[in-house]
Amino acid sequence: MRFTVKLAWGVMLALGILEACFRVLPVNSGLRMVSTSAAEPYSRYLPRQPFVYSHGWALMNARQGVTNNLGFINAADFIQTPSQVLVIGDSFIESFMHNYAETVQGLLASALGMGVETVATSGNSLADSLQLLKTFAPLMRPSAVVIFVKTSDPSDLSEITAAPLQGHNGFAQEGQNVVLHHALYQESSLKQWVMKSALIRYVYYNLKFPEWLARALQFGKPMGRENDTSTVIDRAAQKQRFMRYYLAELNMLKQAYGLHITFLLDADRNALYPSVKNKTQALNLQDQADFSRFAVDSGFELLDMQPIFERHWSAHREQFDYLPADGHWNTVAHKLAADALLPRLKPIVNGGMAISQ
Amino acid sequence: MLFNSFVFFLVFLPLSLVGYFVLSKYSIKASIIFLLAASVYFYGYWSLAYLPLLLGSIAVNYGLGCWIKHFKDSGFEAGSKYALILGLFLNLGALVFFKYFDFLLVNVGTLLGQAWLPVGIVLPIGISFFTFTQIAYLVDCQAGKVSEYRAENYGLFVTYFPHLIAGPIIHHKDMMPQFADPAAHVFSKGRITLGLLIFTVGLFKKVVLADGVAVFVGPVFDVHHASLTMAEAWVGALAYTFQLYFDFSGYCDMAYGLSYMFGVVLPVNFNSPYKARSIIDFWRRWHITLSSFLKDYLYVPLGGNRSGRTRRYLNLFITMLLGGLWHGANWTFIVWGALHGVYLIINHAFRRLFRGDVVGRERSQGSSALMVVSGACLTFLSVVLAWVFFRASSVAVAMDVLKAMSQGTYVLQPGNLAGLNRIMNLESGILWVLACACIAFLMPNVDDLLVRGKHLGIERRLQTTVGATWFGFASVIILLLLAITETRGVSEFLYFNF
Repeated sequence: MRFTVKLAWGVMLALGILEACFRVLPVNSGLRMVSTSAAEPYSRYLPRQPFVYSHGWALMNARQGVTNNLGFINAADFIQTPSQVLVIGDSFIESFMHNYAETVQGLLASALGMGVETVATSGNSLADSLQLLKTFAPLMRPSAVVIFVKTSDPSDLSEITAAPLQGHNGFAQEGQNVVLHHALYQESSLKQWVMKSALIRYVYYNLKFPEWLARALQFGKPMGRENDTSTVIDRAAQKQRFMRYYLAELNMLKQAYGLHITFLLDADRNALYPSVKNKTQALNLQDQADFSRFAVDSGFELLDMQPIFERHWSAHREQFDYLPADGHWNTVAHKLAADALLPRLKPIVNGGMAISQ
Repeated sequence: MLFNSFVFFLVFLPLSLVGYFVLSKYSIKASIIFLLAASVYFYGYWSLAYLPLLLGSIAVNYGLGCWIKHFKDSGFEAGSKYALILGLFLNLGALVFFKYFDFLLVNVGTLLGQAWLPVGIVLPIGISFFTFTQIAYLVDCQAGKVSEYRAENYGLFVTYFPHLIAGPIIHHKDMMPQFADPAAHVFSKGRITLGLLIFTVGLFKKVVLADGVAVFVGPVFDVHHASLTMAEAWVGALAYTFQLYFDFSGYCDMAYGLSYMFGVVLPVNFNSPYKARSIIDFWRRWHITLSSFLKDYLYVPLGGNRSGRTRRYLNLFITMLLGGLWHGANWTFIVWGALHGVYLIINHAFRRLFRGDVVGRERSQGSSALMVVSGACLTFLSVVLAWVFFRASSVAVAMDVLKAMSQGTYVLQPGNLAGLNRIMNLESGILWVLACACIAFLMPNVDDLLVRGKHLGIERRLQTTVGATWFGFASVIILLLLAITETRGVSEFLYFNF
């Protein structure tokens, strides 16, 4: 019995010391999300929420910040006047690891000298971008919209048929029609309570242990019919239906609000780097080709970062991300994207207004 | 199975310990057979395809050992020598085939002007270690140093899971008495706790230090080697210097701790090598069991220092060259070995010139601090330069990195948007290298703290409730370190490749 008590004491001692250490280190604080609903079917954080960001076990790219008045990161405060440019995206645009001035939207705001709004949250999919534009186009009345599209990420093209994550949107087939489907997010009070521990936040946000555990527990389960030829063909057709629906819906918004929409396409950065070890995530080229073709056919403008990154790589040999640890864009990629967007946006936007962050 | 995985720590290790100590209560032989089976499972979990090779190698070498003994017992010395030669031929033949066949094929083809393509033979994991272990066994048999011939003990001696994959290279005469010692088969909470604490130190070295500094190696050696600033090249080379040390010494600490739990003490493999004051001193501290093997089974049979100075230097050079080649079938390892051969020759010549090495003079006459520091710095610098060949994928890549270390092969231009952090977070890399340097140069190693061997006094103290506290403490730290390594993607130990 005494042995067990002493053993428990050792466990408590180690947990206490770890907790104390992690309290002084920049452990990812996480951000509390606003619960979603049918009236507000998109994800955002609580407004004016301070946070600490760091990535991975080594607390890489540590940074502090505050969400804006709508609950988005690296976004200027929304003021009730029409903005000129609206940037929609996911974690690449949200860009936790950078200061506002280093992001695409920050660089555009600085160069254009006028209102650039941003609505972007981690995990956003194409369906989310549609929902966000439906919500914010009437509110912000932008002249130009930039929608960031990843081509090799599960939340974008390659998994467009997948069920949405909590708080996010996806496409679904209802009879002959394609519809937007929202997966509600309700904040758990238990999560709020346990996340007060820095050690638990480290394990949850920095190590992403629950995600790893879920994957580990799924390992070895039978694949089912996912790889059957008929299933693959069905999925490809379904993807194309969803892409066409997405673009048709966007077209309606474009016409209704007089928007100029540009898709900002991420590049297959792994293909640029000569290291064999980095080439783990193959780009789904067919999905990208389909999307590009449909988008251009539907009258949208595309800015493909692939040739831009290729040129910069061959001239300067600078990476565009934090691979192999983190695939998010670094400041080089943001700057190149902003530089490439500027000449396209300048003719569209006219007049400027000061904006406060 | 990797030591740094949940499946090893939470499933394999507890089951092995429970099975071993429960069976030990009834029969030592049964517990040895159980541990042998567990070790074979450990290897099979890695690579089922090469399990027959391992088992076949054990069977053949055990048979040859018995044969040698039989010939010696019957006074047929020549027969025992023939059996030894056959054993060497079979062991080295298997090693050459699996490890060097493709390399030889390509290089012989080049010499003959033929473009022969490698056939793609996959290196069976641990083959270098279990082959050397068994060669040493056969040589010891022939020398009459082996008195223990029980099959299950021999099987465990070769497959014993703490050392099977990446060493240390163990000797029959050191291990067999320990396997047979009844005291090793008695469960002791103190011993388990002490083993766990040593394991924790090794796991920390691997998960935090080695894998942490490793991210600054790949960009330099794999991606950007053709165009590097001087700072990038130095950070990459130093990062690899510390990655390799903490990775391998971490593995050895973990192996030592695991083995200690089973009551078996493994030989020392590292003794703070970067604190060495000369290259001779370095090789007394780095991968000690390999150095000893090469000395006992290669350098001495070649003639050692018995045939004059020139022959001695030649023997040293050949030994280091083959030691380099042992690490892998690549010219980079041969150059690395040759470099260390040259370093050692210079060091010995220098010693002879000044009648005593730096360490010896310090001990005997109290050499100047300047001499000691300059000796240590020169040694470390020489080792770092040689590691560049060890890490590079080809000699050309190594030359790229070395050239960048001397003068830089890339100059930052106005078009560079990331500045110093062009290919990696250089500031962060410098901090990691400095932190690793402080630990490697200033902190004591496990060996300094515990003094190798059985620590009965510490075991007794840990047998009490104090031990329970340490056990709980270490368990939490280990679980966190395993969570880090598993979620990051478990990384293999570097020496698994050799």
